[in-house]
Amino acid sequence: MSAQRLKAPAGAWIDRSRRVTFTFNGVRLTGFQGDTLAAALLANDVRLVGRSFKLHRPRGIYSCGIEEPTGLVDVGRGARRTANVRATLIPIHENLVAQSVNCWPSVGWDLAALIGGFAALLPAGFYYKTFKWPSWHLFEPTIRRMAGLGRGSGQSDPDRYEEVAAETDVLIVGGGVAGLSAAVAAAQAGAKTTLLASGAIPGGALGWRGDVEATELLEKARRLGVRLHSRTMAFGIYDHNLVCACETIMPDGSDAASGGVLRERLWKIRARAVIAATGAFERPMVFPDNDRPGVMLAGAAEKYAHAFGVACGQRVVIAANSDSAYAVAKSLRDVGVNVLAVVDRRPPAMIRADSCDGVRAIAGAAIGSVSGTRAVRGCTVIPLGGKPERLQCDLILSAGGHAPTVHLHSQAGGKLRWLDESAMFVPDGPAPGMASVGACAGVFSRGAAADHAAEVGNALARGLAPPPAPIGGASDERVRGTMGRGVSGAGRSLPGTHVPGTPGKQFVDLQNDVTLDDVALAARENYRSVEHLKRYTTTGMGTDQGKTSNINALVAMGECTEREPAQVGTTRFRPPFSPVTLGLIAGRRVGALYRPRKHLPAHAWHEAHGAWFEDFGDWRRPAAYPLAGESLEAAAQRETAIVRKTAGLFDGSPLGKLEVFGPDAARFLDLMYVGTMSTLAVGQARYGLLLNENGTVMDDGIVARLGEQHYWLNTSSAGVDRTAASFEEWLQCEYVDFKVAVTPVTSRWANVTVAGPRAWDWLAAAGFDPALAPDSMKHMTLRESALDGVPLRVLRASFSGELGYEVNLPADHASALLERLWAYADRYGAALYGVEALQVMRVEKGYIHIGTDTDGTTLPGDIGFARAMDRKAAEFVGRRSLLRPAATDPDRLQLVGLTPADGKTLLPVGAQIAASPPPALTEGHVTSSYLSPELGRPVALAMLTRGSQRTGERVRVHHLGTTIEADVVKPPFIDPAGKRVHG
Amino acid sequence: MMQLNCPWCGPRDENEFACGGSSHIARPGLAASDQVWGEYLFFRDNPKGVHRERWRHVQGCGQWFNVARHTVTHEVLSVYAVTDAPPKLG
Amino acid sequence: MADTLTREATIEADGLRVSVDLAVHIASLRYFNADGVFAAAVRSVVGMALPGVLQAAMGPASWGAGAFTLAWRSPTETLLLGVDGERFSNVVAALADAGEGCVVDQSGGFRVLRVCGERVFDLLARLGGSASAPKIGEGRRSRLADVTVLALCVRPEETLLIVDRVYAEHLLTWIRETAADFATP
Repeated sequence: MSAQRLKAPAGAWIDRSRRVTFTFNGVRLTGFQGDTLAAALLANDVRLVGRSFKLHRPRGIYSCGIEEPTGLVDVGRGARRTANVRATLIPIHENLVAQSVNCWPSVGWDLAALIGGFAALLPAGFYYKTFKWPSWHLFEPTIRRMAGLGRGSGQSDPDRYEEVAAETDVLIVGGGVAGLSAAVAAAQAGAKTTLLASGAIPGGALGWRGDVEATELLEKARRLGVRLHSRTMAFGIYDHNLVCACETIMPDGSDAASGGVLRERLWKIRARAVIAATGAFERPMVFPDNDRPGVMLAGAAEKYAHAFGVACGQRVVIAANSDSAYAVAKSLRDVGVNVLAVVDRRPPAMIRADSCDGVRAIAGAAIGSVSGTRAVRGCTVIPLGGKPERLQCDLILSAGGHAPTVHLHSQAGGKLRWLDESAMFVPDGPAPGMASVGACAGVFSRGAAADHAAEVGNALARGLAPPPAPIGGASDERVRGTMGRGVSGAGRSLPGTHVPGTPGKQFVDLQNDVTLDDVALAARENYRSVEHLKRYTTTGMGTDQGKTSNINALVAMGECTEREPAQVGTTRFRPPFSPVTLGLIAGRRVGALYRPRKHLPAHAWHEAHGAWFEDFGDWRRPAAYPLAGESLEAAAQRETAIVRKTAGLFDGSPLGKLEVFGPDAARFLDLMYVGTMSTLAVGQARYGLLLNENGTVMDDGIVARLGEQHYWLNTSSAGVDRTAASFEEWLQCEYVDFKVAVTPVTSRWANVTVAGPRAWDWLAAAGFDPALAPDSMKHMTLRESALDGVPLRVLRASFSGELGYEVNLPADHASALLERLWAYADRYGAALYGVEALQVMRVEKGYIHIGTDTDGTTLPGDIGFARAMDRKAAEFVGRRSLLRPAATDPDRLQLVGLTPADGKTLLPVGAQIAASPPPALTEGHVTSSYLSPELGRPVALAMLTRGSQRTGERVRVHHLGTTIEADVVKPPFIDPAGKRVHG
Repeated sequence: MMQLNCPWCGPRDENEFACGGSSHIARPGLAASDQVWGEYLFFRDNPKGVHRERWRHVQGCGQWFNVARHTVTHEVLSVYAVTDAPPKLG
Repeated sequence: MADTLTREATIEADGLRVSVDLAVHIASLRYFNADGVFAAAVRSVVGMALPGVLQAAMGPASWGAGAFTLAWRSPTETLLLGVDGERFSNVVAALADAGEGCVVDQSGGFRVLRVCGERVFDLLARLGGSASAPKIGEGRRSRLADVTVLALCVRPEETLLIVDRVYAEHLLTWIRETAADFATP
């Protein structure tokens, strides 16, 4: 029995009157309300918690916070199973279920631990050297299966996440004494102040040392109106002082009610000024086998003792490179733990005289070896120039110094400098918009930290520059007299914590199994840059993001390459500071809200009439209306046949609609379109293309004139936003003196399209004005009309190739009109038709679809519009690009029709056309392809080099190893004279 | 995510805007050589420093405006009308 | 016969009530100069000046329940909203002849959500950014629920959210889910 529960009053955060039962690896254990899983496991003397990533070495709990590298577990059941959670952060609750990761069949007997024997084959970068012959792919599946730690649930996340925006004058990150002091000062100076604390109760270390000052500061902050957010961890700072933080509402592993709960909340806080009060991490000591369960951080053991009433061991050795070791020693002795010795790496000159106070200190000594694999049983101490001494211990603590938590400062663009005395990187002045206070600024003395933090809070509240932090060797002397109980100044530390030349595995990164030898290997292979060191050895790339490894790694690299730590530098700090869930980032954007979908005004009507909806760009539209048992393809074929035979009804509401008004509207449209719009008579309509400045076809549509200064534009349904935006850009940035107003009206007007030989008969039966009949209203004209008082804009146009009427009417009346027309459908044997049928028909007619038959290289001449362009004298967008040599190159891809030589094989869209199978030079590709019900054979459109010159030629179409012969034809495939449309 | 100060709507998050690239590029006429036209289409300065660029407040007032922004720090040095000449920045 | 939304159109939660108003007529007033001929015509026909940047106003008081709301949307556009259909048609007709501008009837093209309750601000903070919430007398067009929405406030205790009709379902679903979690602290 080594780790165990201590008697009261130890354990400021636990409630000994409330027992909690939980399960770990199938074993039922108990703890107290307020325990974290890590604390409860230690209280039950569970020391073996997991296996390391690469070598599957036994691992235990290492720390008492977010920096935990090894105490990772999977928690929760079913859909709530969450992988790789730090046991140090999970509050236990009744029936919590947790299990070890990266081990099989159990953490105690892990088959993959045999890998340890092959460790020599698995140094840093092994996958560049081994497991390559005869082919990496032989080994890849096995290695991939072994990678990773925990196991996810494999089910959809049932819980919800929300996102809240806020703004504040001064934002403080961190709820320790420095953060609270800054918050109080800022609020007193009149600033709107917000404080984010990651723990459940702000106060930091003062909180569990039972210090009254923390409570007082908290009360004061509340009274002054500081907005306090607990359980809220700031994970990143972004441009212009946007701080993002994760508020945990429902901790991992909770067995919440079914149906999902709100689990986390993303705060996006825009702050005028930010104060980082994020504290510091403790640095591990590096010595052989420093990864064994029972090796922990010194500050962690102290916190477990006082906050949770848990002794992590009974016989303790502290490996030290910092004065904090002695404070911890005293603190542990105060609760009855036996501290055998402090093995201090530093020479006597660096150790503070008043530290030792009854604790045995061995100066200039290091740990030479550790015995015990699943739990520490003892160690050997090697003093410099002295005899090795064996100590029987069950807990080895690391007090290697501290590393200020400079992540937010660095993310904000702040610089760092290396403080030689205390061997740490500290902020080198404030970052833009952010100042640092407390330990994260290098100020470890409590009094000095509180004072400086208050000054900073006051200054930033008033918009003044923050005073610099009182750090450096000199200030430590100055502040020594104001040291509070338990909190030490930074003191002096050596940069490196290991003894060079000691044999054995000395771990730098505990999660990814990176040792000093790996760092030396990287140096030898010339991966000397700190960024290369990281990627080559994977140090700092685990889920702990190197919080307990980065400094040791870069210092070691410095020693290998004769550079100072400041010369090696740190890797770039990027958000998130600590892992965040994908759910938090997604927020509400899941399921139906994944992206904004556009719905038809008559959506319910279509649904009631058997529509099969699909996403077409942003729109949810009926692809077809299958009858019982009909496939989508069969429905489209049936619908197409009916439209061509009699008539069909289609909802064209997504078609873009713009109203363009103004005295300069006509000449503006001439500048925008290929196709002269200024010569349109009122009521006349014309097809036009829109190009970009590069000459590429961007959109097409019909332009109709409603009045002298008034135009009605149709665009493609996907292109309307882009086209309207383009018009605004030209009007606001180039043609700034033009008086033109462009107003999108796509949603105001629904579009009910009736197409087919009987289209007019159907409309007439439903009561439409005879003035709209084909003999009085020509193809490509627009008439304003009405039906029972509802205004209409009726355009005679056709994308199907049949007689067609597009009835535009106010969207509120769409369902009513559909219903009214549908009542007469039986009379004509008419059908509803969807987007699929429309695609079949337009391909039969050789009509292009922008973005399907065209791409970013397609010019008007490629799709048959060269002649139309030549007639124009005026300039239009893209005109100049059409005069470039590339635009007139005869080898360009041009639109053609294709039919399979065997009359049966559907040509696959995207299939390449080439003289021989790949590898070969492509001559083009198939862009659209459907079975034509009217012709009874497949038809396709394609882009083919010199296509317009190759009508009648037989070509080869290649697709996934097969070759299909096809003939080049000139579209359309049916009704070439267009009689059905023009009459 | 930057915060841009739309001249009409005030400070808004970057995701309400669309960036239109460099400002103050004169559009050559039809008589321009292929080289001049090609440079107009494809060649842009990429300064490590102050960049004058156009933004449009798509999800707000829909207006275009100019911004002088430092490409390294994202500090916005000036916001001015799309038709204005670039201000002198020290 | 007006089209109806497919789902229950009122959302209620602690301190929040959101309802869809299908009876609002809306038009875009477009003009080339906010101080010109068209603006004068609006003042004469509607009885109110065009609102300034980011402003919205309701009136004239003399029209009582038939009062209009005018909301600034851009330097060349103001939205006109009204529930009195006849008055609305008359105004649209009267402005048709005004020069240097035009009226585009948008009725049915937007959905108007009426949002009331003490937690309106909490709702807007969960849909958009901190600049999205209008104070009384303001109309702010911004990104809410990833779509563009004009939020305006001309009466105390009530904020209107005006969204393109095709995105109404998306916005309402987002609001519904957000309101459902209002009980969680």
